Parts: sequence; structure tokens; C-alpha cells
Amino acid sequence: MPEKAVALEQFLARCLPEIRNVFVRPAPTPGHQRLWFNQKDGQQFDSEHVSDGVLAFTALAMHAISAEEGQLFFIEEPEQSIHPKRLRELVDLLKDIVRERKCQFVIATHSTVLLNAFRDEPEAILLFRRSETGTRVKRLSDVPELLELLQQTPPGDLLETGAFSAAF
Amino acid sequence: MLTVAIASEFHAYDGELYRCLLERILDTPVQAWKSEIEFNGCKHVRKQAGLYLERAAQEGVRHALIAIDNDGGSRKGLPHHPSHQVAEHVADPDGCRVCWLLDTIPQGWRDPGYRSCVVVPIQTLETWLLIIKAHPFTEPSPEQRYARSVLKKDFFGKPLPSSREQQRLALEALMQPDALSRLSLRPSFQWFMNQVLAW
Repeated sequence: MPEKAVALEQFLARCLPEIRNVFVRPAPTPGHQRLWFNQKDGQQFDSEHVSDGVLAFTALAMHAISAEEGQLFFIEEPEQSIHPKRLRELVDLLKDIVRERKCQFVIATHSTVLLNAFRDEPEAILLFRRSETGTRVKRLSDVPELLELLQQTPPGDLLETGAFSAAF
Repeated sequence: MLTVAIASEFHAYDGELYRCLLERILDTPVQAWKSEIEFNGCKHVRKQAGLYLERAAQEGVRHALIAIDNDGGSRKGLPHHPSHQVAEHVADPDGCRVCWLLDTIPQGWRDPGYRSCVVVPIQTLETWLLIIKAHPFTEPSPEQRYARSVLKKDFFGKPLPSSREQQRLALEALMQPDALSRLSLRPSFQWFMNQVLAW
């Protein structure tokens, strides 16, 4: 089995305890393959019959694991369907890949869980604010008032309480 | 095997580090009590530690550890003192964090036969880890150091690794033969160790 497929399977088995392994079979459309999930209880489901969350989580993990050295990825609001606990595991995977392969991931999010996963890297959080003249962008670490608040309050809480809007 | 209910900010990281420290201090195997209740930060510990400990007691667990980081508390609040009025500090957002945790312990856990301890490292757990690594703390001293992200990057490097890798690196430090003797020089660790040794 190719190295990256093994890595994906190991990651999924760690994060989704009910999954034994994943595999592909020919899809009804000629020339296409379909992903299948083999559960520990022996049941098998194809990708059309698993939840959106599992599917999105698997797809993002697959893209991340397939990343080549130095690649740049954009991820749009992964919290839309993925469980908060899985989001943290996904961030962990991305952090490993950043260190191993010098990749960059740009994640657009309103998730307090995702923001909290970067509590100790305020330089990695960019705040965006629209105005009539355009969109302002600032690093969280460049807003002294927020940096001070961050010592005692995780960034997700700052987002929820409106502190970002007030200070930037 | 001693089972301990560990209520800490993140079970997979802080919880595992405290479990390892308990094993080293008590010199006996320790397992963390498993529960569906999960903590995600200091606020969760304050809100849910009581429920967590009650559930643990129902399942026969008699030892508990409740921990949060100090996160700037050394600059904003006074260190814990036995004369503290717990209720006053609980109501104060900059109050003593040891008092916050003492307040979470359910009444039943104050009975004989139950053993609990509360832990608040001087800033974050990484302060202790840096002390084990003989980090050359110049001014400001660990007690004065405030920026938790700086402390974490001092220990783990930048960019910060995944939490699994952080756990591996931290456990590696805690398993160093001289870890306890180095840590024992710090008042915050001494306070933790004394509570555990009194179990």
C-alpha cells in the first residue's frame, strides 16, 4: 500500500475509533473510484453513505497528507460539518505537516475551537474587517490590547465576546 | 494501579503530564480515570470539575487532581495563602486560582477516604518543563514571566508542533532522572508535591 494511503488510514483509525480501515472500489461511473469505510463491527459504507463530517474530515486529511514540500492550501470554514474534537485533530495533523514539509495552510474560520487551537501562536491568526474603503487585515499579535487579553482568555472566547471587533 | 480523576485543561496533554508526574512522585503506576466529560481550557475545568469528580466518586475513584495554568496570575493576583477567603477570590476574575479550584471540589470529596489536590503551575506547565531543561532564565524570572506563548515556544520551538508531538517532548523531559529534584526547587511544584505525598 502506498505510504500516504497508510498514513491516511492510521490517522483515520486514530481519530475515528469505529473505523478499521478505508479502501477504494470501482464506482458505478466507469473510470471512477469510490472510497469505502470498513467499520470495526464489520459493516462497510461507501462515501455516499457516511456523514458529511466524516467525509469532509477524510477529504481534508487526504489532501493534507498528500501535500508536497512547500505547497500552499486554502481551507474554507472546516467547522461547517466537522465535529469540534475532530477539528482539533485536524489542526494537529496540519501542524505536523507544516513542520515536516514546510507547507502553509490558510484557514478561513469563525470557529472558537479552531481559534483556540492557535492560542499560543497569535502571529498565526489574521483578523479581517470590512469597511466602506476596503478590507483591513491585521495579525492578532500586532494588536497590543488583544495580546494582553490573550494572556488570560483564549482567542475563541475573545471572538465570542466581541473583543476582536472592539479592538480592531 | 492507582486510578486518579484528573481534571486539567486538556486531558491528552496536561492530563497525561500530570499522570506522569503523579507516577514519578508516588513511585507507583497511575492511570487516569476515563470519562466522557472532556475539558477544553481553564473555564471548562472551573465549570465541570465538580460534576467530573462526583461521577468519578460514584465509580469508586478516591483520588483526584484538579489543575489549571496560572496564565498571568502571578502578575495580576497574589499567590495562594491559607488565609484566603475562597468565596472572595472565586468572584474575582483576577483572583487566586488555587481558590478557584478549591471551590470546585464537591463536598463529598472532603470526607475522610477521599484524597484530592489542586495544582497551579507558576505560569504554564512549560515553565516547569523549561526548568527541567535547565533553561537559562534571565530576567524576567519564571515568576515574572508573563507571555505563555513565549514560554511554550521556548520549550517546543517555532512553529509549535502538534499536541501529540508536544506531549511526547514533554513526557521525555519529565522522565529525565533529575526532573523531580530540579522541579522541587520551585515553590509551585513543591506545593503540588507536598499535597500528593500527603495522600
